[in-house]
Amino acid sequence: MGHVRRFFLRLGNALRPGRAEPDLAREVSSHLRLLEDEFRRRGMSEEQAGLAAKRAFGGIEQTKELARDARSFVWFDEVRRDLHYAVRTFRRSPGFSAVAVLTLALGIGSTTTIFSFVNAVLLNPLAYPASDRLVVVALTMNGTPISVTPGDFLEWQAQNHSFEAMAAGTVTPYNLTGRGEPIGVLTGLVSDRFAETLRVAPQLGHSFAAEADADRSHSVIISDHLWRHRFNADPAIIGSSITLEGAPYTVVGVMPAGVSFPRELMTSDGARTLPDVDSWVPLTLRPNDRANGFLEVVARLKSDVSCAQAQIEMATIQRALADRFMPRELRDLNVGLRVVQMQEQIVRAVRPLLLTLFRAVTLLLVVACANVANLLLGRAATREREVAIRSALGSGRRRLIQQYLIESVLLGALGGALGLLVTNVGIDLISALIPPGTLPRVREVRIDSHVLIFSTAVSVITGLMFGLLPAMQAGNTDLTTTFRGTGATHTMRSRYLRVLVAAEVALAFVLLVGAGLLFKSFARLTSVNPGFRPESILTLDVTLPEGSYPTLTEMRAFSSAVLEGMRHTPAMVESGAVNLLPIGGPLLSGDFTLEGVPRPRGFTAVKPAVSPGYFRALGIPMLRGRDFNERDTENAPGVAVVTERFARRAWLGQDAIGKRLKLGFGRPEDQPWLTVVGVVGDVKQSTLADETRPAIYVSLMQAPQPFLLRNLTFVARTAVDPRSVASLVREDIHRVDPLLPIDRVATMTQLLSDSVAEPRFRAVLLGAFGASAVVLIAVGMLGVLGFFVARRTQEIGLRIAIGAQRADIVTLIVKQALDAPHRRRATHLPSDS
Amino acid sequence: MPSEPNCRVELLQGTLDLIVLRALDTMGPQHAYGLASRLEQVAQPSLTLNQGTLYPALVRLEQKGWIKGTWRRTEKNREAKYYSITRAGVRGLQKQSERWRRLAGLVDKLLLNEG
Repeated sequence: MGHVRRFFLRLGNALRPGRAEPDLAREVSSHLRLLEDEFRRRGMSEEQAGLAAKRAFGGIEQTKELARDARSFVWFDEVRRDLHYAVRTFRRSPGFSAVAVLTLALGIGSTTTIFSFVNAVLLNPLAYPASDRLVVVALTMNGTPISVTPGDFLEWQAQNHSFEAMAAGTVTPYNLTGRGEPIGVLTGLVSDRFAETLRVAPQLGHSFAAEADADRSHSVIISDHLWRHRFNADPAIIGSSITLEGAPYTVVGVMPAGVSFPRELMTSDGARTLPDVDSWVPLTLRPNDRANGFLEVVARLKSDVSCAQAQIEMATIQRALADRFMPRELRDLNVGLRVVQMQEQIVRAVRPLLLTLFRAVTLLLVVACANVANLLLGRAATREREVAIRSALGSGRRRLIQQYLIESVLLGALGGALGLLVTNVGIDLISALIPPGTLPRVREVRIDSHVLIFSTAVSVITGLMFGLLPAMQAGNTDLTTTFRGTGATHTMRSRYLRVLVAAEVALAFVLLVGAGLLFKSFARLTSVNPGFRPESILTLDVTLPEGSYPTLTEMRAFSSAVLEGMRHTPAMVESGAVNLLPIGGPLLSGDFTLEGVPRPRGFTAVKPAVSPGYFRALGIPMLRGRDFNERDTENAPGVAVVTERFARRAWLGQDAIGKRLKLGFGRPEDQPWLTVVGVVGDVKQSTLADETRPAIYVSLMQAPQPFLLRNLTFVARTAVDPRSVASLVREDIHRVDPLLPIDRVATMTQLLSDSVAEPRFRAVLLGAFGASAVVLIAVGMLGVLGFFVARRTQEIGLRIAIGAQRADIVTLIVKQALDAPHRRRATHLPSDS
Repeated sequence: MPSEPNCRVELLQGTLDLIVLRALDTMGPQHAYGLASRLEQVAQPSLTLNQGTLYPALVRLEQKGWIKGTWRRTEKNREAKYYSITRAGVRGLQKQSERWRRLAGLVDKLLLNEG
C-alpha cells in the first residue's frame, strides 16, 4: 500500500513541483539553526558555529537534490528541464528551428494527408452496422460487370439459404419540384427490405416495410443531406407530401447521413459522375422480367455462412436459372457470378493507387527526416563546445543523448502539430482536385481519431529517427580534441552528408522529370483538336423510358418537338440532338457493309445518330456534300454522312458522295442501303487521348432500332453563356414531356475538362511531390553547408586575416556546395587536402 | 575495502529507513536534527554521516505514510518539523524488522560457514 501511495505522490510532485520545495528549505534552515545552537552551547563563536553546522549537515544543495529525487521521479524532472532547455535552444536559433519544423510539417503533413484517405477509404469499415457481413452479388459477362434482372434477383431471394436478407436497387435522376427551385435528386429505386439488409434505420420516421400496400408505391425516404438543405431539418417533414417527377410522394422517413445505396455499388465508368442518392422510393419488381438488367444486389450473410460458401450456393442457383431461362444463343456469353464483400467491391479499384501514393509519400517523409537529421548534424558541429562543457561538468553520455533526443522529439511534435494544418488543407485540396467519381467514400475523409493517433506516432517516431544519429554523435564527443579546437576530419560525417544530398538530388530529379513529362502530355492532351468547337455549347442528356416511348415513332416525335421548341429559344444559335455525344467515354465501334468492296479487316466505325443541324451546332465542318435535312424521313431513301477518315479508308480517295453502305445492326440482308450524302471532319468520339475513330452518321429519323435512341443528348450553341439558357432548354424539353427527367446538364467545355481530370490529377500530384522534393533538397543543402561552414569557421577566419575578400569566401563555399550533388561517389572535401 | 584507514560502516540500502522508523518508535516524535544526533550517539564512532543524508529517508517514509511531519516549537522556542510514526508505520516497522533479522541471520550463517 505504502508503495502505491508513494508512487502517486511522486507522480504528483513530478507534475506539480514546487509545493514541497519551500517546506524543505524551511526544514533545512531550522535544522541548521538547531545545529548552530548546539555548537554555540559547546562554546563556539557565532561564526564558528555557523560553519560547523554546515560542515555537520553536509552539502546543503546536494541534500536538497537528494530529497527532490526521493520526492519525485528524477527522469521526469530531467525531461522537464531538457524540454525547457530545448525550447531555449530553439529560440536562440529561430531560423534553424523554423526550417526544421517546416520540413517536418511538410513531411508529416503530407504523409498524414494520404493516410487520411487510406484510413477513410480502405481501413474504416462502411457506415453500416456489422458491415463485414454485407456482400455484393454481382454478375459478369466475359469479365465485365453487368447488372441483374428483376427475374434473377427474385429467384435468388427465394432460393438462397446463405443470406439473412437481400436487397436490390438502381438509381435514376428525379426532379423535385414545389417548395422552391426545382432540383434534380438522384433517387434510389429500391426493393422492400433494403434498410433491413443494410441495417440502417431512418433517423426519423420508418422504412417502407411498415407501409400498407396501397400507399407504398408513393412513399419516399429522403436523405439527411436533402432534409437539412432543402427542408431545413424540419421534423414535421414526416407525413408531408413532396413532388417528385410531378407526382406526389409522402415522406415516411429520413435516412441518417452516409447512406448512398445503391449508388455506392456502381463502379462502372457511366456511374462515375453520379452524385449521392438523396431519396429512395420503393421499386416494384416484376418476376418475369428477365430482359432488363438494371439492379445492383446487396445481401447480408447469415452469421454461420462465409462469403465463399455463399458464392458456391449462388453460382449453383444462377446456373440453374440460366439453363431454364437464358436464350440458347446467349448461353456461350460466359456469364459469371461473384459474391464479394461490399467494402471490397467499393474500394477494390482504388486500393493500388492509394497504396502507391502512401508509399511515395512515406519516401518523402524519410527524405524529410534525413534532411532534418542533416540539419541537426550541421548544428551539432556548432554545438560541440557546449556539449563538451556539459560533459566536463558531469553530464553522462546517457544524459547528453537524452537531451538531444528530447530536442528532436520536440521538433517532431511541433512538426506534427503544424503537419495537421497541412493535412487539413491537403484533404480539401485533394478532394477538390480528384476527378469526380474516381474515389469512393471521399466524403468520409476527415481527421478522425485514427488519423490523430497516426500523426502522433509518426511525429514521435520521426523525432527519434532523425534525432538518433546526431544524439549518438553528441554522446561520443571527444573532450580533448574539441577543446583544443583541432577537431577530427569528420570524414564519416561528411561522407554521409554527401551521399544523402546526392540521393536527394537524384530522387528529386526523377520526380521532376516525371512531373514534367506528365505536365507536357497533359498540355498536349488539352491542345488536341477534338474536331468540334466546344465553346458556348450546352448539352442536356435525357433517357427515354420504355414505358412512354415503346417504339421509334414516339422517340422521333419527341426529339423533333423538342428541337422545334429549341429553335425558337432566345439566344439560340444552332441546336441539334445526338445519341453519342463526343468525348462521351468508352464506346464500341461496330461493323458495316460497303457496296461492291469488301470491308477491310479490322476496319470498324462509330455509328452515331444525329438530327439535322447537329454538325453546325457542334461546329463540325461539313467538308463535302450536304447535312441531313427535314426531308430525310423514315420513308425517304436512306442516307448517311461519313467522316473524312472513313471516306478515305473505305473508298481510297474516290469521291464518297453517292457511294452506298449498310449499317451492321442485325443481318445485312434485312438492312436498307444508305447513300452517302456528305463528308464531315473527324471528331474525337471517345476521349481526347483516344485515336480518331472513323464514323458513319445516320439521321435520327432513320435510326433503325429503338435502343439507339434510348439515350439522347440535346446540344445547343448559344450566343450567350450557355449556362444562362439551361433553364430555357429544360423548359423546351418539359413542354414536350413534363415528366421526363433530365439526367445531366453540362457545358461542352466542362465535359472536356472533366474528361482530362485524371491526367490533370496525376500531373498535379506528381508535380506536388516534385516541388516538395525540391524544397527538401534546399533544406538538405542548407544542412550540409551549415555543417561545412561551422567546421571551417577557423579556417575562414584565417583566410580573411591573410586578406581573402568576402567574395572569395562565398565562392569557396558555393563551389563546395555545387560540388556535393553532382558527385555520385562520396569523396573527401577537395579543399581539405 | 581493507586498505581504508578508518573502519566506517557503509549503510546498506534501505537500512536507514528502518533505523529512522525504529528511533521514532522508541523515542516518540523527533525532528531531523534530533534523529541525527541520536544516530550519531548510538553509532559512534563506527558511523559518521552528514546529517543531511537523513532527508531522502524522511521523504520516502513520509510519502509511504509511515511517518508524519508537523511543524512545532522546541523547548528553546525554535521552530522545527517533528516527525512521528503512524499506525501504518508501526506495522511497516514490524514487517521490515522481521525481514531484516531474517536477512541478517542468513548472512551471519553464511559468513560463519565460510569462515
